[in-house]
Amino acid sequence: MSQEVLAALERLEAAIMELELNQGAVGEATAEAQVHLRQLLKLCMAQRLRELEPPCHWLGSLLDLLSDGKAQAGQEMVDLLLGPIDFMRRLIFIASGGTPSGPPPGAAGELVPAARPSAPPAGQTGEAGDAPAAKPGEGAPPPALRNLPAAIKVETEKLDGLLDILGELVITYALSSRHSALAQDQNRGLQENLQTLGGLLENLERQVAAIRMLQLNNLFMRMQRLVRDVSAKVGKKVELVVQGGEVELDKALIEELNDPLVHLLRNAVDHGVEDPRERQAAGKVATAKLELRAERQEQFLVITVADDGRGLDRERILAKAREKGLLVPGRVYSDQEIYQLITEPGFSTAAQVTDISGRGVGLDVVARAVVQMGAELVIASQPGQGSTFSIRMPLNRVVSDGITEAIIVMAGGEMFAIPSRRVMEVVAYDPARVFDVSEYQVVDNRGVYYPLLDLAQVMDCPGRGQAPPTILIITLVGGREVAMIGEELVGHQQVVMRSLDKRAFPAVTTISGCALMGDKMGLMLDLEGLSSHLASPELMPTAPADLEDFGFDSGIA
Amino acid sequence: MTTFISFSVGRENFAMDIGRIREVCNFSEAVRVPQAPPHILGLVNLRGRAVPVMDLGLRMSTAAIGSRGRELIVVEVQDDQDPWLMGLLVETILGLEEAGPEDIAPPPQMPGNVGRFITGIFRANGYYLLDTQKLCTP
Repeated sequence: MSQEVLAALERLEAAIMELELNQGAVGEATAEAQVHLRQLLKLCMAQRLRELEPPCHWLGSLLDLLSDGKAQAGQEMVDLLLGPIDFMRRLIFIASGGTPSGPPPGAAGELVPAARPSAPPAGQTGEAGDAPAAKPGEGAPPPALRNLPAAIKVETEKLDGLLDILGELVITYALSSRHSALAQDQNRGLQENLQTLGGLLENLERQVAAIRMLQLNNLFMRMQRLVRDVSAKVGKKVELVVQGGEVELDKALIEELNDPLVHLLRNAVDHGVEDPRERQAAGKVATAKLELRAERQEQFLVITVADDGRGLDRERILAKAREKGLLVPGRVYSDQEIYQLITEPGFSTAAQVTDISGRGVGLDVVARAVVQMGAELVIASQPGQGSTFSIRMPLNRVVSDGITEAIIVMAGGEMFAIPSRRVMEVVAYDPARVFDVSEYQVVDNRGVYYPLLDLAQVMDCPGRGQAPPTILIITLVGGREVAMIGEELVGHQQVVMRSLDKRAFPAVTTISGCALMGDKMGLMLDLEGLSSHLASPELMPTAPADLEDFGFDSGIA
Repeated sequence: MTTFISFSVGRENFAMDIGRIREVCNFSEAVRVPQAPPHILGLVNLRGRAVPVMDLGLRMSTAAIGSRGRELIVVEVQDDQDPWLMGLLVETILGLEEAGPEDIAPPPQMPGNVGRFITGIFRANGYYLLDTQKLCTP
C-alpha cells in the first residue's frame, strides 16, 4: 500500500523542485504540484492514512500561498515545502516497520538531507507551515534520527485530542464531586480523595495549557517579510520594530491573530504612513517607523501596531460617516468613538482603493475577527504623529474548542450556555422594573437601563412562555450591554465547548456551538450573531441620558 | 461483493454502502438548534462529539420519522476539508446485504424529491440504494 503513496510523494516532490529550478514558470509548476497533492491526499483518504493528512494540508496551504501570489517561489519556499515531504516519507517508512535509526528508503535517504541541509528534519517540521523556515546556511544540518532531540513536536491534532479528553475528565470530576450522594456521605476518605483528584486535574490542565503555548515570535517574524514586501510595492520606506515576541500564547490564538495583524500592518504601510517625499515635506525622516509590540497589562495581553504616519483624519471620518448615515443626529462623539467608526462595515477613507489593503474589506473585518477572539480593537491617533491599533485580549481566555466557564440558563424549556467572561451580572427578574420604550422593552437595573432580549423568542423555542422568567443575565452582545431573560439559572460551571459545524448548519447565526456537561448538552450562544436580533442602536436607549429623551427619569441625579 | 446496511423509512426500504458508516447507535433525543435546516433535528452528544441528526424521512420528503425513529446510522461525510459526521435517523434497521454490481439495477424514474438520492435498486428485494454523500450535502 505504501508504494503507491511513495510514488505519489515522489511526483509531488519533483513538481516542487521544479518551482526552484524553473523560476520562469512558477504558476504552472504550482498548479502541477497542486494536482499531485490532491492525488496524494485522495490516496491517503482511501487508505485511511490519517497521519499523512495534516502534512498534505500544510503543503496545500503553502501552495495556495504561491498560487494566490501571497508568497514567492524561491529556495526558502522550496525548503519549506520539502519539509512535509520528508516528514511523510519517514512516517511511511517507520509505519511500514522500518526502524527510526536506519536510513529511510528511496530518494529521501541520500537526496534530501545531503543536498538540502536547510530542510527541516522530520519531526521538526513545524505546524501548518507557519513556523518560520530555517534560513539556508543557518544552524547545523538535521540530526540523524537516532540522536533523539530533547524536545519533540507533536501534531496539534493529538494535542487537541488530549485537551478534549481532559475537558471531559474535568466535567466528569465536576459532576462527581457535586453529586448529591456525596453531601450525605460521612466517608471522609472519599471526600479527601476527591479533593486530591481535583488538585491533580488542575495541575494537569496547567501542564497541557503550557504545552500549547507558543512564542508570539512565531507570528511576528513573518511580519517583517510582509512589511518589506508591501512597502516595496507601494514605494514607501518602512522599518518594522518588533517587541515582546517572547510573550507566549496559546497556539490557536496565535493562529487567529495572524489575519488581523496582517491586515493592520498592511493598512499601516498602505494608508498609515506617508511616502518619503511627503514625510520630508512634513519634516520627518524619510523612513517611516512601524512598531509591532506585545505586552502584558494586568489581566490583558495587548498587541499594538503603531505607525508614525499622518494619523487619522477626524474630520474626514466624520464627513464620510455622515455621508454613509452612520451618525446619530445631534449626538456628540468623542475622538475614540469617531475613530471606532472606521471599523463599521464598508467604511473606507482611502481616496483610492489599492490592491494592498483589498477592496471593500477593511477594518470591519479586523474588528470582527478581533471580537470573535474575545478581544477588542482600540484605536488611537495623533494628527501628524501617527496612529495605534491595539488588540486587547483577556489572558484567561480559552480556545473556542476546549474547556470554558459558562453560565447555564434555561429558556423556553431548553438549555443555553453563555461564556462567563461575557456575563457581567445575573440578577433576579422583576416585572415592575421593565418599561416599554417605543416598541422595545428596557429594564432598570439599579439605575442603568438595558435593552431586554427574550432568549426563548430569539431562539424560537417551541416551549416558550410555559415557565415565567425569573432571572436576567446582563451580558455583552455585539459590544452592547443587554439583559437576557431566562427561566432558571442552572449554574456556573466548566463546560466542554464544541463549535458548530457550519456544513450541517449553514444558516445558524445565533449559536456558536454546544456546551457538553457530562451527558447533558446545551447550546452556546453566539453573542456577536445575536446582536443582529437587537434593535438598531439608534432606536435603542443604551444609557440613562438617552432614556431621558424618551421621558424617563434615569434615577441618577 | 460490497456490504450494504438496509433499513426502513416510512413504508419503503433502503440500503446504503457500509463503507462510510462509522457506527449505528440508539437514538432518544436531539438538542434542537435554532435556524437549522428543517430536516436537521438537532445535535446529539456522541461520546463527547456533537453530531447533527438528520430525519431521513424529512430529507427525502416522504414522511417525517420524528419520534418513531429509534436508530441512528452515523456516517462520515467527505468534504474538501476534514470529513465530518452526520447521524441519519431511520425507523428500523433491517440487516446487512451482500451485493455485487450485477445485483443492482439502475434506478427507475422516481417522482418527487426522493429520486435525487437514489442511485440504484436491488434486483433481489427492491431496496433503494441511497447516495449517502448526496443526502448529507445541500
